[in-house]
Amino acid sequence: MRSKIYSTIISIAFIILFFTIFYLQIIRWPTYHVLSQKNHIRLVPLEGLRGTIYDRNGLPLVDNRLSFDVIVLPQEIEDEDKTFSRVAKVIGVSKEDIKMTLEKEYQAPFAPITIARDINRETAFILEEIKQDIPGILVQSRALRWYIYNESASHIIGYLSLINKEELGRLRDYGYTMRDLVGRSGVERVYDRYLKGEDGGMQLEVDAVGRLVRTLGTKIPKKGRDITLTVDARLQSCVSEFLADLKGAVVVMDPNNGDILAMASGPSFDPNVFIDPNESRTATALLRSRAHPMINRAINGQYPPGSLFKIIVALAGLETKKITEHSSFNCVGKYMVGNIEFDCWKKGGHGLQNLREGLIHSCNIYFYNLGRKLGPDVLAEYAYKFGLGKSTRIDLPNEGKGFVPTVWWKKTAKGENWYDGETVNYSIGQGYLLVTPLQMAQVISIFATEGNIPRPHLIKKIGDSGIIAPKPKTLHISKDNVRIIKEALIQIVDSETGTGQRARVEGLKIAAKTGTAQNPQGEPHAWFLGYAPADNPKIAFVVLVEHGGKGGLSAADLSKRILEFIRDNTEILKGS
Amino acid sequence: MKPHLKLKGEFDYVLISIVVVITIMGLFFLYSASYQKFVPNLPIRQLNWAILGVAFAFVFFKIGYQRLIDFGYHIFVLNILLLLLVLIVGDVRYGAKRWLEFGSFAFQPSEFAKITFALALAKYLGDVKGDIVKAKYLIIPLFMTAIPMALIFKEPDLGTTLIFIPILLVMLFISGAKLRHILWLLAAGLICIPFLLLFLKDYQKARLLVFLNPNLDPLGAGYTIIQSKIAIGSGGLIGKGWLSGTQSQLNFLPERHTDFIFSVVGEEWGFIGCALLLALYHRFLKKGILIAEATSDIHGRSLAYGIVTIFAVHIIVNIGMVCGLMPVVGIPLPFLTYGGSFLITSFICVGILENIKYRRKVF
Repeated sequence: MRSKIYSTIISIAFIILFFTIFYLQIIRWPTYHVLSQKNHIRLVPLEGLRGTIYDRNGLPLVDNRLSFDVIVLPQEIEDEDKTFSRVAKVIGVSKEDIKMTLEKEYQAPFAPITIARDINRETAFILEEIKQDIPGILVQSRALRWYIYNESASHIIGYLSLINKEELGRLRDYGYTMRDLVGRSGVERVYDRYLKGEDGGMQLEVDAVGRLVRTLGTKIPKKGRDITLTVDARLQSCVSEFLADLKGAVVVMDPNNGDILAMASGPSFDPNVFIDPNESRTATALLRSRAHPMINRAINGQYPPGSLFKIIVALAGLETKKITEHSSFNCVGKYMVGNIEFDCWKKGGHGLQNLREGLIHSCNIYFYNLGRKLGPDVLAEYAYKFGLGKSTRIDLPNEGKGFVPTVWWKKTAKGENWYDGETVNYSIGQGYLLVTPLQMAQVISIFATEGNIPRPHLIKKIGDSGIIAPKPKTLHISKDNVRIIKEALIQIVDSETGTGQRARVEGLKIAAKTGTAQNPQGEPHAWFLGYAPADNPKIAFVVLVEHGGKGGLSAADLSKRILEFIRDNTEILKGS
Repeated sequence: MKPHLKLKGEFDYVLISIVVVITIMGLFFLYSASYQKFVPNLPIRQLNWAILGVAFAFVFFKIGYQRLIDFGYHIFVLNILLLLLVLIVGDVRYGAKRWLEFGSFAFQPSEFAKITFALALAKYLGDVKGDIVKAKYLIIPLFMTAIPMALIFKEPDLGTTLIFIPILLVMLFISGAKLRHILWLLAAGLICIPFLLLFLKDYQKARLLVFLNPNLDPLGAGYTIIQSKIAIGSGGLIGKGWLSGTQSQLNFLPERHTDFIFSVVGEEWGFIGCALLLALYHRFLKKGILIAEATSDIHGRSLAYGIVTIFAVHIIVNIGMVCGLMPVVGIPLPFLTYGGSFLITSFICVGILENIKYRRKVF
């Protein structure tokens, strides 16, 4: 009897063991299978390189370069003191620093720790040569995004930073993963999907202490697509240099097709600091700076156009037949609307001025009269017609639209009537009207091409396939009227009384207009825009210098230097 | 009792065949367990132990268990002396004094104590016969159990210490001791546990705590049991194949040639291999019980039950331990775990079992 009981107890124990094993091996197999895989298979990601960005002549603007990091494998170190003092000497840091990094970041004997990032090539080679003597120290190379021109094209090109949660959620389907760098602004952002490389990886089998046993498989990473921009690298870097200490913006564009040849905004930033982990403080400082270096003033800076607007007003006058080119107004230096006095910039006045003279001298009184004749709604209509108040749809993110005021707007938004004094201000580009430098580049292109409105763009090629620029739209305006104004624009630079004389460039015929944008914060902003050569325009340019003073002087000076550089150092003006 | 008897009883071929099959399986798994590292001749050494074990088994088969029983107390006392000697001059390995060395030969007296204890207890139980129902006759067995337990616990070897308790209880139970008395003993033992804990080393306490929750210390004490479960679980139905277990071959599984050899079986041969092994062990124990039950001589019967219990406890606790059902106490798996002393003890036990079966008819 007791024997039976004993035998049964043993059998029950075996049945329990049997079902435990059944549970572990059959029911829970999927879990344990995964756990065992995780145990011994490591995935080492291989980063797919980002596409290179070239300028219009095939010069690289942004590339990838090899950087060398020094890493430590704690378990391989033999003589800690000797090894570290040797390494410290080579890479030029103190032994204590290395030990501190090690202590701070230590995780496991087999987990590598980076002790120095992006050391120079020579140092890396020295470390490679003595690696027999310093076991446990490795030089690891990886690709880093390299903005070759540093500050000079940063607003066009943008910068990279780690993908955030929201973006990851949105972009996961496109193959983005957690550690990806994504374009944060500029071309890097707009063409991110093309530029982004396809990551590969290696499946490695490791043992219990993490040592490599063998490679199970490799997926070769793919480089993203290269892109070519319409920008001329040499011109870009020159423009950027001229703007270095100023706040302002420059746009140089081909008026015929909208190719952006150069676009700069000051102050600028160096996109490389966003890549370099050692520079994270600089990066934060940039993002917080009160000078707003991250803003691209060429597309996001919104300013009153000042006298630049006069060319639109003049054309509106001719188009609406309110005036002819011979219609004259007498400038006595001031203009009364009710009790309020509006002045011309020239004390004492210009005397009797026809349209051409009014433009050459940038006579305010002439345009007060003309503006009054046209009325605010016609001014607004022509502003819209010339592309103000809406984005140019350039291939850059967050473009500003500017603002075109109307009587109706004032009534609905402000609940006020439109005053005649505001019409007077409107006609010389002051008041509520706001434009971006890029919009003004588009405006001047319309004059340069006698009626074509190009779509500004930066992209020229993706990979090997050229991107055909959208055909410029044609405005229904009279070419004769445009030519009247064009002649005046040439005279602005050429005539002895013109406001733009300072921009004269030897051997290059220029058509241009100065502008002064009043602003309550201080000195007025200086504008200068134009195109050249005047007979066969190849470039349209806009220069804005914040607080650059009256009469557009500083902007005109800057334009002159840019035009001289284009004449001497680029191919842009050559050829048909 | 002179062996004026003739040796013409039955020999249990099934029992010995199962032992041989499991031992050979063991050699294969030892080969796999040691395939990637250290002592490459591990299976060869084990084979040598096994051959020596078979020789011992034959000797003990020949001797006649009655004579062993006659000398039961002497042998037991001798073993106790050896255990004392271990504590005085023993060789320290893995932080424990368990080995006695004679030149190049080393053995663990604690392994032999399992069988000599069963032998001495069998003699006692056979001598007192029906009187075992009286409580006072339980005092001597208690002392017989307590002495080797105390000495082995001091080494320290928790697993082997605890083995004595089920052997005592089963042999008392089978010999007709009052169930009430046995339960009292059990209760007394349970009361002692908190006091026992005071004497435990830190690593032993850690192991007990980790049994309750292995993830408490996944890289320390819990590591082995987690890795063991992963090894067994990932084996699935048919296993990853001999020499192909990633857990064992890549060194994730510690102690896989000793206490955790079953995990290697589970990983490489899967559920089929484990079930086969369980079935073999079960059949082996059933055979042992049959032999014991068919023996009318109380000495032989008690001894046979003692031996069956030694095997049963080792098998159940070891497999339960590697599957995470029981705490990791360090108990070997008979015929599979690497180690000479226990393998030889196991073979001696088999020899004695066959002996009992062979000679019992004579009386």
